[in-house]
Amino acid sequence: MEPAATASAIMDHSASETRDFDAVVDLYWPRVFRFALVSLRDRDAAEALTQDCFLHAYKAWERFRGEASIQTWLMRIAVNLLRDAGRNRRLQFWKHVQAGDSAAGGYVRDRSLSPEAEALLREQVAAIWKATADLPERQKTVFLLRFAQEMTLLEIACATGLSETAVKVHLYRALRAVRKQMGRSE
Amino acid sequence: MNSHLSLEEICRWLSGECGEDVEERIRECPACQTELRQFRNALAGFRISLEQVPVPAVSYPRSRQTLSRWILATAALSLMVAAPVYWNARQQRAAEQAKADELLLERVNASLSRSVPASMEPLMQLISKENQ
Repeated sequence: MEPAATASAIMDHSASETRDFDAVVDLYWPRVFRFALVSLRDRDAAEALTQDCFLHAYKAWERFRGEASIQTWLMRIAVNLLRDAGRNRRLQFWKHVQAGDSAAGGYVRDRSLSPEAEALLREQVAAIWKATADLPERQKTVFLLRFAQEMTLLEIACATGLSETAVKVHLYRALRAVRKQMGRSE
Repeated sequence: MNSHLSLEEICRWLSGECGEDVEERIRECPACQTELRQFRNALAGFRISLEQVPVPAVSYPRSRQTLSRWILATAALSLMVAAPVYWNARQQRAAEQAKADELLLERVNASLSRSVPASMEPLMQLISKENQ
């Protein structure tokens, strides 16, 4: 995005709209960033995508009528940007940094679990992180929107532009791959 | 005794889509309950681990930030260089103006102190000599 275009887009909005949008940014910035991070596995790319997402959202803020929730609307923008980023990324596959994987070991300690159960849970969480890295793009997106963003199937369909049936199919395939990574049989 | 849940049924259950018959099978099967609980906990653990990832502060695109910094730095530098030059030039101009004003005033005074116009002075001097 050109700086001049950015400044122009920001100046097009009234102060009250800007205040409303600031609240949206405060609330959803972390969610969009984490979704981008686990999708791209690259902090810089995830940050850039998050910035782009909110810039697009800001420019379209006046037209947002609330047909979908703000989260669904933002995720739709993020998914589209990810799709574009995916096309570009195929050309630079060597720059596949596993930056997000470090979070897999950072799962908070649950004092209600026995040490064995906690160790098992850590292993399973790490397996899910690994599995999501290897999922095809659509399966990954659907899986993350469902289990990281806790969106409903209908919201995922709206955010991805897929039919609800297609969302179910992708989710099923993603879960199958995740369970396989976790060492579970079907 | 019903068989254990299939992956498809587990997926439907995780999506909150399974019917009462599946719920009943889960209630009757401790193995399925354990399986579902572990899988659900692992997915929740994944979400929690993601929420613990540090998030960078909200920022404008770097290119814009960098550009703004460059503009500000250049403006400040230009001001630092241009201000003394402008101030000197202004003072010099003021001094020149004052000098010119002084010169003009001297000429006016000289002109006023003359009894005749400057062009008539040689003639007046001649008349004065003849009278003597």
